[in-house]
Amino acid sequence: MKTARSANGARSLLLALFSVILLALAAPGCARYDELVLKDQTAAEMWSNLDAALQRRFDLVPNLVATVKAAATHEETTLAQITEARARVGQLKLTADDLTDPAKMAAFQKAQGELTGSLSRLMVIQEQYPDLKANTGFRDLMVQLEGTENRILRAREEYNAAARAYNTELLQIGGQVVNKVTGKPFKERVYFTAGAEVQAAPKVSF
Amino acid sequence: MDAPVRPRALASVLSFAAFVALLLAFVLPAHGRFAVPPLAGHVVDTAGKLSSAEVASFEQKLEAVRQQGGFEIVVFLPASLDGAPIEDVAYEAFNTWKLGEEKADNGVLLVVATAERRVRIETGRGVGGALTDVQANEIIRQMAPLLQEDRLRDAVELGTTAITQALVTGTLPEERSAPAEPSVSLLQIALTVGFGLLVIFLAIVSPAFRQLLFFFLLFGRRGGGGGGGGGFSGGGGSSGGGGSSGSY
Repeated sequence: MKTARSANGARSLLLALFSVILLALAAPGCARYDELVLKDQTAAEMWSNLDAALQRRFDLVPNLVATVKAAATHEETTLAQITEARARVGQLKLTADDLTDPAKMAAFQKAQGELTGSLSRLMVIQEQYPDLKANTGFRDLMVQLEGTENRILRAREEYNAAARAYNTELLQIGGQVVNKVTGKPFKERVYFTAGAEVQAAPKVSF
Repeated sequence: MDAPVRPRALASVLSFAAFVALLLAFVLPAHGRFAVPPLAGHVVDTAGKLSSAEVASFEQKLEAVRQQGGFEIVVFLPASLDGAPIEDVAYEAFNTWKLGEEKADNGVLLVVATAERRVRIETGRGVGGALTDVQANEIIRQMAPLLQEDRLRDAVELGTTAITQALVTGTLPEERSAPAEPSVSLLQIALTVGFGLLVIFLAIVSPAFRQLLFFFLLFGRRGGGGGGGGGFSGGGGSSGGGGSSGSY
């Protein structure tokens, strides 16, 4: 009788201790979870900025190609390359889930990088066509392209910084534990590096 | 006797060096390559190319623009870009100074690098529609001949006027922020009066508080007098790389 009661008491004491420990573990875990959600949302917002800048460039290309085609008659191959690169970019639309998929991100970045490359060739050929350079429509398009490339550059830096902050939080032990316990809702974000090799944004000289 | 100590000392030195390197690696990219000077007002002339009268006149003009429409226009004349592209310098400076009101994000930064003969107009995220990249480029092209003739004051005058005009005409009146009215709520009045009464009450009751108050008034005044240079600081805006640049 006595032993049973003491065993009961010990059990309830153990239970209380266990729940206290659980609570002590859960409280920072919840904060960690919230922190992960917050950083993920920040990164998502930065991505939408980057996506908007990329879309802006995508929308600029047809006008640009049409304007160049009228003045620069010997540049069919360059223009065809630009059009093809744009078409490939258009086929690749990323969903939010794809941002954590290295293969899909690699394909996306390759397409965007090719468009950057083919557009930068346009900067070189414009020098050979004084008529084109004098065309105000073309000049304005180039100013817009230059501004867009600069925006892409900044948005890329800002996205990568936000993704790095999120990934760091996630890859730390605390983040890993929280992720595992909550059923792995968080995945590591892939950095956007397309066009990193093309450091300087295209310049318009006048 | 010496031998067992030395490796440990070496290890601690190495780990300290590694720590410092790590710290630098984290600190340096955040600040960028270009050291942005403090925001002194609407004109930051580290190159010293404008006279103090000219700076004062621009200061007055741009402060009036800010009071009327909320647009924060700043002119930056760096002595040198330190080898960095003007796009980077403008972006760093804009976001360090946080030009523009936080909500409207309506700051504009005009950078003229006389040493490198480069100009840039960097726009806040909120003015992309009112002052487009093409318009910014148009303004730079209007400034270029003046800059070629070394008429920096005239170029800045033209540039700031054109920027103001684009901002005012391109922004709907209801989008513009109201002139900074001193808005004092009833609660604020009540709190101020309550605080005043509390101070008076304490001053009557406690001699120690009276002494403290005396010293506070004596020295507090002096401290407050130093910061009277403009009273303008960035309002929390940011730039995402909008704008245009050019050479002259």
